[in-house]
Amino acid sequence: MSHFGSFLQFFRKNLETFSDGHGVVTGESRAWEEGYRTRWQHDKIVRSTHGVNCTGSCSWKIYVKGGIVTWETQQTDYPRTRPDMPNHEPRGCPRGASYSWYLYSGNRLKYPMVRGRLLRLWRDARARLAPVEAWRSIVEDPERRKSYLSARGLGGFVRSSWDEVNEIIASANVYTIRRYGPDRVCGFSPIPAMSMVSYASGSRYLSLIGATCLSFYDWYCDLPPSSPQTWGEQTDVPESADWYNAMFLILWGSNVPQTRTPDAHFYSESRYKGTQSVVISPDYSEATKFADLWIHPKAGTDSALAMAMGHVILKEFHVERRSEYFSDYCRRFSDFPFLVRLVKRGESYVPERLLRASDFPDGLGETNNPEWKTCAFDELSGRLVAPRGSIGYRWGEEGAWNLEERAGTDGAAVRLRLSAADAPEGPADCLPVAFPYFGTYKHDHYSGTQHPDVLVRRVPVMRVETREGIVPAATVFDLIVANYGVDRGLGGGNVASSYDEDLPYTPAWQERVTGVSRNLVITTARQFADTAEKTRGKSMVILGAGVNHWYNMDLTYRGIINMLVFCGCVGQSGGGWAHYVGQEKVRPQVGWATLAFATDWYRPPRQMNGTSFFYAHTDQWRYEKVSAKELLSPTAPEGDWDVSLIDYNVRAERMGWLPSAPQLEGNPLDVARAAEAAGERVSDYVTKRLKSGEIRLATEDPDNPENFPRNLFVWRSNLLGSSGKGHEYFLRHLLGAQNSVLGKDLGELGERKPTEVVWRDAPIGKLDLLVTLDFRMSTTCLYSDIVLPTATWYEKNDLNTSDMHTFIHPLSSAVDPIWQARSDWDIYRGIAYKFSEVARGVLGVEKDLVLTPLMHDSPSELGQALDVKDWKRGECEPIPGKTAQAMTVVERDYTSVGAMYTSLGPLLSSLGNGGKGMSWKTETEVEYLRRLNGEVSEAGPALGRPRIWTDIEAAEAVMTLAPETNGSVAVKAWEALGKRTGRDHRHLALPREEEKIRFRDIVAQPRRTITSPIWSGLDDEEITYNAGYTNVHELIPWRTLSGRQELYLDHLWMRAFGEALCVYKPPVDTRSVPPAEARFADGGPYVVVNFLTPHQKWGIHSTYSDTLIMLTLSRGGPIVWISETDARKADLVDNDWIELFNVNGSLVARAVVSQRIQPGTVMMYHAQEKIVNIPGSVATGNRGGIHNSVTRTTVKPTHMIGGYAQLSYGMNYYGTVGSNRDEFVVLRKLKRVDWLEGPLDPARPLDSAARTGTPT
Amino acid sequence: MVTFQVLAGLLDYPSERLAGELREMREILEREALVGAEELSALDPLFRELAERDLYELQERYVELFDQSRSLSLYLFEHVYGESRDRGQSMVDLLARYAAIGLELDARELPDFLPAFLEYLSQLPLDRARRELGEAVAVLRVLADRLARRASPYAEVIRAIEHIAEAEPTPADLEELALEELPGGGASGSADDEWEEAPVDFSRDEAAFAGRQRARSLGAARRKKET
Repeated sequence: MSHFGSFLQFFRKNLETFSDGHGVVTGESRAWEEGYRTRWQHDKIVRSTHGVNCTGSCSWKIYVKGGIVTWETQQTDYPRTRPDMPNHEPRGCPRGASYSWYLYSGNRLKYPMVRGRLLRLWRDARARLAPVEAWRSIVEDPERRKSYLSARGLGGFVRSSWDEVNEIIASANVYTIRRYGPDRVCGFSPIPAMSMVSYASGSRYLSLIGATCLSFYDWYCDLPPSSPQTWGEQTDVPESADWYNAMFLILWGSNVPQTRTPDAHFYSESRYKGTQSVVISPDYSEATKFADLWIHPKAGTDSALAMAMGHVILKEFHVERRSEYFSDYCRRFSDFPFLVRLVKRGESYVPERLLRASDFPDGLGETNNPEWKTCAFDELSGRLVAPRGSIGYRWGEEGAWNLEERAGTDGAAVRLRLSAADAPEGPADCLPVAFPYFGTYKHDHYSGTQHPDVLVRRVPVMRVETREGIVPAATVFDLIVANYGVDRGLGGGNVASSYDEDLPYTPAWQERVTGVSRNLVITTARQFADTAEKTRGKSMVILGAGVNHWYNMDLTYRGIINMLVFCGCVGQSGGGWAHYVGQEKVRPQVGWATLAFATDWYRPPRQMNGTSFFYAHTDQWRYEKVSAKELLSPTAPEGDWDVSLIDYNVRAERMGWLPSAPQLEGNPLDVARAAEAAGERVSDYVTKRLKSGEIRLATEDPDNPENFPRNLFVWRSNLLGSSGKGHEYFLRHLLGAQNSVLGKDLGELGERKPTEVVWRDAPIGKLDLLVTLDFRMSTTCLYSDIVLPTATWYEKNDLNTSDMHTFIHPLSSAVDPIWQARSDWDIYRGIAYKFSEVARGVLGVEKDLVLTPLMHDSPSELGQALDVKDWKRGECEPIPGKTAQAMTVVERDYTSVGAMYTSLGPLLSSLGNGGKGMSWKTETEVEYLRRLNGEVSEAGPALGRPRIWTDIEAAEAVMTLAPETNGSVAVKAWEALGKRTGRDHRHLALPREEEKIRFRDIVAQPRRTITSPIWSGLDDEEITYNAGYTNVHELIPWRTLSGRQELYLDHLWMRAFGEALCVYKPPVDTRSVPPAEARFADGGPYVVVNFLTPHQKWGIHSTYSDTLIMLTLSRGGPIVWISETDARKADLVDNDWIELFNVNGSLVARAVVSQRIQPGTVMMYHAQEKIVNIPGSVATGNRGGIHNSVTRTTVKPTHMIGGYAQLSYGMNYYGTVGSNRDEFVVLRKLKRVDWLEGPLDPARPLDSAARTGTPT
Repeated sequence: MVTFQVLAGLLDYPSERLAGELREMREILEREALVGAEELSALDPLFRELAERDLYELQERYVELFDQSRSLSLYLFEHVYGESRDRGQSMVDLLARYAAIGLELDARELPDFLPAFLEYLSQLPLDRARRELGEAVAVLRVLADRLARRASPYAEVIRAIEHIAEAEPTPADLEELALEELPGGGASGSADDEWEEAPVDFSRDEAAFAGRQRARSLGAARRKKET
């Protein structure tokens, strides 16, 4: 606006003065100020955040004017830290700051939508039939069913009403439960921490009806299996503020400024303080700018690098000179001193399992769980002992599960011997021990070395007298030193006395594998350890998806963890293992889990590991080209190992290691009824018939229509657009939609098939109903049958926490949901009530047989201690909860689901609450909630129960029940743990006992949570949160077999695959390129490259990238980064359209040619969806896919181990993971850019013409 | 004038209720004669379709056009501001305008939803309604063109509204809106050409630089020609 004439150019006109001439009054127009005034005018500011699965957890101010959200700014009121520590702010990034527009975006979903073809069928049927009958009439008619399944992904949505969609969904659920069983209804939602009430809404509904909740952390491959393996802990990491306390900081495959933007300032500040920083990344990532030293190994070879660094650390700090701090730390806090039995194999010995108290004639005086008590030699008494703290002490007795240096039950002080060579008289003997070496593995793109595949090295041993006679035993420390190839002067080969010898795992050896100069490795390792020694553990490694998303990720991680344990860094402030990959830290976890899995009404809930589920039900197993045989160790014990990967999964489910979904071949409601009719206990009835083969696990026949998952809910997730590895297989088999699978399955190829599963014709379309809740038309929505518009993050109330800081803060409703959107809590509440109504007459009070695997943190983690026996092969009896899944009959009232959803059930009062193996009474909290939220006055099972009608009431329930947000519960929890450990830990929570953090408190300001035994660090004013802190400083055992950090994993399957000790394994060969290369090469230039999918800067975390403002800052659409070298080879220039394909499918993007990228690799940022700028692919004739169109997941047998201390199942804790970085693709220029804008051709086949061989 | 409400009604989601009101709606248009005879007969194909075609097909088409294509959004500011943060303030201003004549938005709708705006206009004296409608004329023109390119009968509703405004969009406004067009959303399929820009080069090779500059302006000219 012009203000010409409002001002004088040369004069100032003063009307009068005041304050003795210090002030003047002028008459000039101040209208120009109006612009600023309206710019910053608002009616209110509301505190909220962004509930996408980002760990940022940044509190924001949302400005509202006239009922409209106008903009947001960062909150700056986090509680201060202490003097000499930087504050947490600023928190927030441009992605968050661009969010407010999304509420009003053209992409926003406005109404409940149903595919027109389905809605027409529904209304026709419903006009004649009752709801459940109507659904039956549609899905039991193959033609009707196919008519809407085949339209998935092809548009044709129409608006519906909430009442109508609720009725369709409820009818489908009721029908499926009656016809197939409740375990055929499934739901997927990730990362509860970011909006935990929203997660809990769907999972509460599903758990009440007995449906299956699928895990996500493992499916995303963000779960680091090495963490459960080493610590018995899913993931526990330092908060970002603790980076500041580090003195040596390695960033390894983690791009902090890009993916942990609000935390990155601590990294800068740490460097200003003088902390040394090394960045390890194959590409010149943004983080490398922070580095004092940038190390860039060949992508996928990081474990070789870590092994070589470990070699240097062991040699210089544990062998040539023994660092007092390191030795003491490892003696007390690692399994270094524990004894491993050696067994003769040919000319040499092979390390077997850890010795147990039960191996000795006197059981070392242990009568409780002697098979689960590991042993070591005590230097004080000169005898073998079963030191306190091993898992045998955790269950069945009290007071001895701690890390005090004491022998078992008699409590005598001990000092454990680290090495057999430490005996004053020298070791009893030195024996040749065989270590497997995998660096010879053949792979088109990774060069192996020419060493033998078994390396025999001399190891000092003790001779111990066991029930089976005198056997040689070595300490874990002695085995580790030998495994790293460090020469100790014991003679024999395969050990190096110089770093320049080319022997696994020297710095010179790694040079050939990784391409990194040995000097860089030596310097880094030496400085890392030297710093740790001087600072008592203040060396830290921040590691991320760059190293975690590979098939052998656990070996890279263990290589790094070994370095940290060797140097006494874990559990020390400023040190340790900082894994930041999609971690989800629901701080008030115990309160949340109650709400989320409805354990206040029914126990146990049905939970399933996502990876095995999707591997089986998207039929990716039908295309598996990686065989177990090629992965096995040359030192593997005798056994039937040469089977398919899915065979391992079936065995694991059968032995109770992994969960199943669906569970049995029959409907669990019918099974329970039949058992009752037969007058038998259900578990006896089922066990007997499992054994005879009359009843089978569904997993043995995943393509049998009786075993299909039938209904799937997706909420808070973009499963198909972002996180569905093997995207095209999802489309082909799970959905029955148009797809671009290019390869043939094992049947079509005539190759060897799995032995444990039935092979059938390929199923096309397993799901009857796919329902997605979202606020935008994501790729997942495009493929759904029903799409429900959900409230955005500024339109609902919820809770938000992260492990990047120790605060809890809310999402709160700045405005009401616009159009017909509703919060997730309200949506599922509506479905729950409709379900109760529709169920009447079809389902009543039903007995449901629930199968549960041997769960971690429960007594059933003591499954098979010494061996692996499979009942199916007659090796043992099926004993539920021991050698097979546990069986529980749950009586569900299907007509009261709504009333139960909205009230807190009675089991909290009768059974109490708890988590991670602890439990405590919680009547006080239930009573408190009754007074706070009010009670239910309607007749029925919920009468008089505390009410949880609204999302805020749900949040109050979470916070009241959880130790982290209710001080008196925290004290109770510590007391419960104290009983186990025999130590008093209450001092950690007593100062905050009176504190109750309520929803309105966190709306006023983020609050620091309260220290609780659910986690292993302190939420403290003085000590920054760091994982493992209470293990080291409160002497609480790690939840592992030995109770220590476990570097030797002695399970049979670990030994079979050669991973008992950490080794280097190159990426696996997925064999997905050669057939596609042969079929589609057309004479033009192309390159074959490794396909990496890191997180991006221009999308909203891993979930979506259709924010046009953000895209404008990049290339405005899908891009793939490629090196200059490869671009030249493929005859490409920057910004060319390119096509990437292999047998899994194809994708289309523009090339970003950059020196940043290492030749041989390309990077496509995660979650570039089909909805923005994707033309057709020449290879498939279909629209180009997403990044997961060229991936297929491959599962790893060692992740299936269960019922074995820390290697036991827990949802999102342990299980198979969906790795995808070992994949290679063909990359070439896109010859023809075709936007495929045309009407739907109903005759077009679902499979790509390229697959079926018909011309395009 | 009720005509505005009728036109708003035609842009409403097809339903049985709407089908039942079509006759009356057309009568109003005839009676009020705000829509000229020529424009009125151009609306007949839509009237006919809404009355006769399968309802699911009509609804699927509506969703595809207006719920799932940003370039055809019925939210006026989607075209003007897109995802800019100015959009919020502009909606606030629009609400204030409604409030000034005593109207309070009573649906969970946004104020810039074209049918809502039309309903507001129906409450104004005609000349003022025309004036205010004129402010949106560039958006209407672009919207009508895009619908026409898809051979959609809805184009005629927008054209009829535009005629009432009796205003001409400025070329500058039109060009700005045309730039908002999304690749793939247009009929030409030449999204790449439309977006192509010569790379910026800071090298001292001035002859080469000038050459690229020429290429750039040619690209711009071609773009103009196509629009």
